[in-house]
Amino acid sequence: QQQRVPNTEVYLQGSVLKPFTEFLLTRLRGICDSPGDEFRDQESVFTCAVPGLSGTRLRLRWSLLHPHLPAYLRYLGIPESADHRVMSRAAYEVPVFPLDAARQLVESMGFQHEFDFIAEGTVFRRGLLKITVYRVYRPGAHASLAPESSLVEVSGLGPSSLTAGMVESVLSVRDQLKSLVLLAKHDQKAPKA
Amino acid sequence: GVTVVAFIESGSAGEQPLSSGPALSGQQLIEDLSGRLERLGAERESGQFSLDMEVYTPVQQQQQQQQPASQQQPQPRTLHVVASSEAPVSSYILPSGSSIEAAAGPLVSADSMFGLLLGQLRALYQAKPGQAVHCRGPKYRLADFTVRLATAVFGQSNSVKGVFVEAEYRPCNRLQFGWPLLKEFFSGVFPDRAFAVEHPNEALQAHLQAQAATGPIDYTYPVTVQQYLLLAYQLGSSRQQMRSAVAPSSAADAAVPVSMQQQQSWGRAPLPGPPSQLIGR
Repeated sequence: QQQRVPNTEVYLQGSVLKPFTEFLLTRLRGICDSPGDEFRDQESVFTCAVPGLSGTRLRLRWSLLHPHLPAYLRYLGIPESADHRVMSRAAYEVPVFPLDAARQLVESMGFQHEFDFIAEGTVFRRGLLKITVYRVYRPGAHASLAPESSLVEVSGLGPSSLTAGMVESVLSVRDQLKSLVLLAKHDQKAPKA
Repeated sequence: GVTVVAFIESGSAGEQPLSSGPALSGQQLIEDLSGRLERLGAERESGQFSLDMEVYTPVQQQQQQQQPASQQQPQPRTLHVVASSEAPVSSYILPSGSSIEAAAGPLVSADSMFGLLLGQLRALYQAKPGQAVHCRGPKYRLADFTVRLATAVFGQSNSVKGVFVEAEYRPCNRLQFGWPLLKEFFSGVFPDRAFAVEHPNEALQAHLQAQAATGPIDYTYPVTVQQYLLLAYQLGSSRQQMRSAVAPSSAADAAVPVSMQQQQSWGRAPLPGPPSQLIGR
């Protein structure tokens, strides 16, 4: 039963310049199962305040477009490169409700709020994969942190038994988008607030 | 539907039952209560009702206590995580120390995967099976009511400390309206326990008071879970007062006296006095 719980995420990231974003979205509409849904999510990042565990983070993410939906409590592990072609990490996304009680819970667990960000863009589905094209904002800002481009992510979250298949799917999408966006592994450093 | 939960201690725990009848063991209590329900025409539902209240304590806690007060960080709180057969894909989490009277209701409903996420934080939280409460028992359906009976086993012992009795009036989701009928049903089926539903318990009162602030709210399963947590807490507190010197249940617990353990696990402000006047008697 443990094997069926989604706990591993494999992914690649890239970016696309503003003038080419529309071409990318058109191509994605063609190769994906869904026509693309707009999303606008806010994510609160919390860091463990307990000495000795200060690297550990928990994230709380909720939709600003659909506030009635449950929020997600997310734990993301350190990115590893078990497969040299894709990034992978432990990932748990737990639906939680209600949002304010979830926030209190995270703080009761010894975590302190570090920063918030807003992610806004389009999400596509292809099989078990999720492809997102989005911009990152500080809450309250009009312009995104990188106004001339959008982030592109191809990721698959599933049980470790399905990882091999998802890696192949991720690589297939990478190849199909080659002419528009370079999707690759990236050196992960902790983002500054 | 609106639900009330009560706890009946079993005679084998060494305390006097509050009714005038003979002291019954947990299993005998279940049989007695089941018998009553069946004589009233209740049908036994297939499957078993189960509810588990697990406790996770912070690993760092004891180290923190040894530091001077000025250097102490806000401590992680003990977590109570509840799983129920009536909501099989859900987990309910309550950090201890939070008041059950808080209007917003600090109980978090989550996917059952929450336990696995907590497992990733092994350096932060450890499970304490010795402090868990496990409830198992039959379910009965009687007209528009469902009654769930469950023997309660505390920790890893095999002895049954008592029985939880849960009565649900399924068609109604507004506590103000359903309470009088629920009280009448419970008192009628379990007349020797009628005192347990004389007034709504603190968890139900908190649910009513939350509505005073925000307007009508539907009664949902998390309020039932709050009742189980409340009763387990009250039971834990009263047992702690009656125990003078008890051997620790495991080597890991030996470092901290049992009474302090209980406080750390279920540490909350004392419960308030007079019951809510929001609904009539």
